[in-house]
Amino acid sequence: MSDDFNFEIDDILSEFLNDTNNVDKEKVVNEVREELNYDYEMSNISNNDKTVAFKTEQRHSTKASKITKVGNAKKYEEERVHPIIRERRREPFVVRATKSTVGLVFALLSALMLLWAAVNIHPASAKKVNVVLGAKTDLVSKIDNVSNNAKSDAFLGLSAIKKIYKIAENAVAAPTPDPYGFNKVSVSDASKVMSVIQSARDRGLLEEDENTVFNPDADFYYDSDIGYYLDDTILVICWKEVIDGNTCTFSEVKVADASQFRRKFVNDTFSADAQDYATNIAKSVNAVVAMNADYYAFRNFGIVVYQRNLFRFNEDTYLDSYKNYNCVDTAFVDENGDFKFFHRGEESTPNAMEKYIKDNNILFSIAFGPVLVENGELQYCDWYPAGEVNTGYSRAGIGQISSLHYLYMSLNHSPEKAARWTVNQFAQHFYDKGVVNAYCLDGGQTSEVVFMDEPFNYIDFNAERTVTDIIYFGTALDTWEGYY
Amino acid sequence: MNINPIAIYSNSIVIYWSGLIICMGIAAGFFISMALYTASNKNGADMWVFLPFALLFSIFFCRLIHWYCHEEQYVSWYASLSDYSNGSYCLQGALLGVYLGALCSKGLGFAKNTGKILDAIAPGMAIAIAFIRLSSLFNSSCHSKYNVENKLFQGLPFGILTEDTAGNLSYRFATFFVEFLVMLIVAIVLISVYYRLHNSRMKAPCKRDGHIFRIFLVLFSAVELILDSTRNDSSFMHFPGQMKVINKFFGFISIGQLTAAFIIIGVLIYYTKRSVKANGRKPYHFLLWIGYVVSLAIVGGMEYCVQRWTNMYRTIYIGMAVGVIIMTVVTLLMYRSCIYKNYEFDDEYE
Repeated sequence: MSDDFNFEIDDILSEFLNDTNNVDKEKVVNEVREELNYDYEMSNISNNDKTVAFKTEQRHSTKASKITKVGNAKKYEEERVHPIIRERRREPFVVRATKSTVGLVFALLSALMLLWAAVNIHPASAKKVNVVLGAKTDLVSKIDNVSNNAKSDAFLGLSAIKKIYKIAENAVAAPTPDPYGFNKVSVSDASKVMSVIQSARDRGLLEEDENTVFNPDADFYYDSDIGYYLDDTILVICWKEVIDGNTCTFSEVKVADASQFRRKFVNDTFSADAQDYATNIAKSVNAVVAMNADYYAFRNFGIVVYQRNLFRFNEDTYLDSYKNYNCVDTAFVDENGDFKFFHRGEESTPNAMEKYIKDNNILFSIAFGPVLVENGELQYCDWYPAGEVNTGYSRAGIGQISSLHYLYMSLNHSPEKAARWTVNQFAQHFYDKGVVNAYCLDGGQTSEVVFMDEPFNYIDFNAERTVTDIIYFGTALDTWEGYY
Repeated sequence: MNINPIAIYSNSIVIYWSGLIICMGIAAGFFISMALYTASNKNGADMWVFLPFALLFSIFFCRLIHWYCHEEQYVSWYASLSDYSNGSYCLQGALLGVYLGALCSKGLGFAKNTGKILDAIAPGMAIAIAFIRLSSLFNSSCHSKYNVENKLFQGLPFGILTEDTAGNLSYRFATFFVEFLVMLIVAIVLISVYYRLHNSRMKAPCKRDGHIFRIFLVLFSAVELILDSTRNDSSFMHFPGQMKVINKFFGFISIGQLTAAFIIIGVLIYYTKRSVKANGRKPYHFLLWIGYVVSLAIVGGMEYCVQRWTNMYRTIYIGMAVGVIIMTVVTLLMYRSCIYKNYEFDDEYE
């Protein structure tokens, strides 16, 4: 309070003294006197305030002694007044009483608001969960499956009872894969992988006449290994191949059941705040192999379906005749694990889309694109709102070779060379691998394939980026069915 | 850390730890501000009038920004602003809320000087923010995207144990707990600065009040520039229409960082204009601005790097911290150039 007075004088003084033309120091002090037109009334204030005022007085005396050299210090000292008195003299009692009463009312209001806030504001504690997950085990169907598989084992050789493997649709994670099922061999031992493929045939996972894309004679990237995983329900082979001087990463997957092809949103919630690295997300769902999807939270276009629910169908205009929902191609995955495409420019409505999802048993969708190959035909794209389709870039895509047989392909930088393919070039190379359907995923630094909880491809800049979602393949073989 | 997020459960009333701690933090911050304000012989009623308005505006703007950044989390715009028990908030809205609260207190004829009330609020706000960050410890969101591998740093205050849906455990950097501690330090610094500087003589045409609040803004922004980058749940701008192209370049910069950057440059411009008026154009003005541009380049570059070369995040954040420190010091030096010093008075007239 004493400082108030002190500095008010100082402010006025400084204002004058800063002005080099104004050198009349007496005028300065007179200005101060006019500004502070108050009486000195020590008698009306408390002892404590007196002490403060006394200290103020001492300080002012010191300052006044300096001012003596430049002006009329005595007058300055006489004119000073303690700020408490000044404050009290400014406002009449009625005003002060009114203010105090209003202050009290606002204090009560504040208390009520804080109470309301304590009850209602709890960020991230009770989020609105859009996706109903959490049933880790659908026990009835699980017991049925186990019983069926036990019978199959018991009657081995006597009766052909086909084993059933399925991951519950609403499971938050796939069963933990067999740690001994993962292996890596160097590219010089690529032929060893053929015995794994044969083993998959022996287990009935691959049909006898079903070919794989993996070719032990391919031009593998010299500084790489071939990774694979095999159990009764899933075969995964990952490798890096040089095509046209660029390093491509492939992941070929054959699963026993469509439920093993899954999608994961971070926190299992559509449009959650959180993002995470694909490796962490893959780990959280026990993925055998996982890949980036569309990074849906970064854009607001396309159609997003997750767990059979329609979450995004934005009818705002995107550009020209395109709406947000139809400015890109959307890939739907149905309960048979097959792709169905909704093409750019196609018209629909939320209700029609809901019906489409229901009628076609759509489990989830991916909204990036464009469609690269459809029904065995190579597609051409000259303009697309997502990704730089006509410039050289890192690319990623997922394709279907046959029923429950998939191929993921990515083109990334390598330590020696930056990746440079347009979408159409990428589509051509994907098509050459024999896929029937293929769809482009988010590329650039987002394109990543995770195998054994580690990035398998050489990600651009050699570092992962946080994303909001992945697609992944998991084993359907539960630990309690015993894989050791 | 597995802490039950529910503190009190009775019939239909559920009170979460996070809500309780946030309110306790706001109350603690408010009473400290009140103590500082009334110690300057100001009427406490000014503060009581300020609080409900500040709360109201803060909650509204915090939610509004969150709705803007996460529109799809809400059924509608109206739903986001009418149901506050679901969804989340962006803290940056509180800065605007507090400022509007102070304006309301003045507008209703209570606080005579907005700057004075904001100065007193600054340390309290730092405390409130600290507690808001602490509350995340109780809702399992107090973790960053970075894993902490070094066992020495796996416990609080640096690391926190997290569990994913498959039951895997990992240690993550405890962003919010670190921010809680840093903001407590900021609050202590501000209280000390308040007592030393809140009535500093300023060179004309600089006003005497509002500087502690600006210092708070700069310090808070400096903290946010670094720590918001480590969060795994940052909110991002989404430029609409023809401006969509901006998303490609700035879409990865969080709204917290953008706000922080704008605040710092705003405060710097404010002091530069006043400093130039008070002192004339001096070489140090250019030097400070060069310092600012360099620091901005460092911070921006480091943010770019940390998103590209994530695995080098430790080194990059050290670089970013250096940039932020330079930025803060530059701004505070510009402020200092507006303070009227005694020795100048003595030198000139003795």
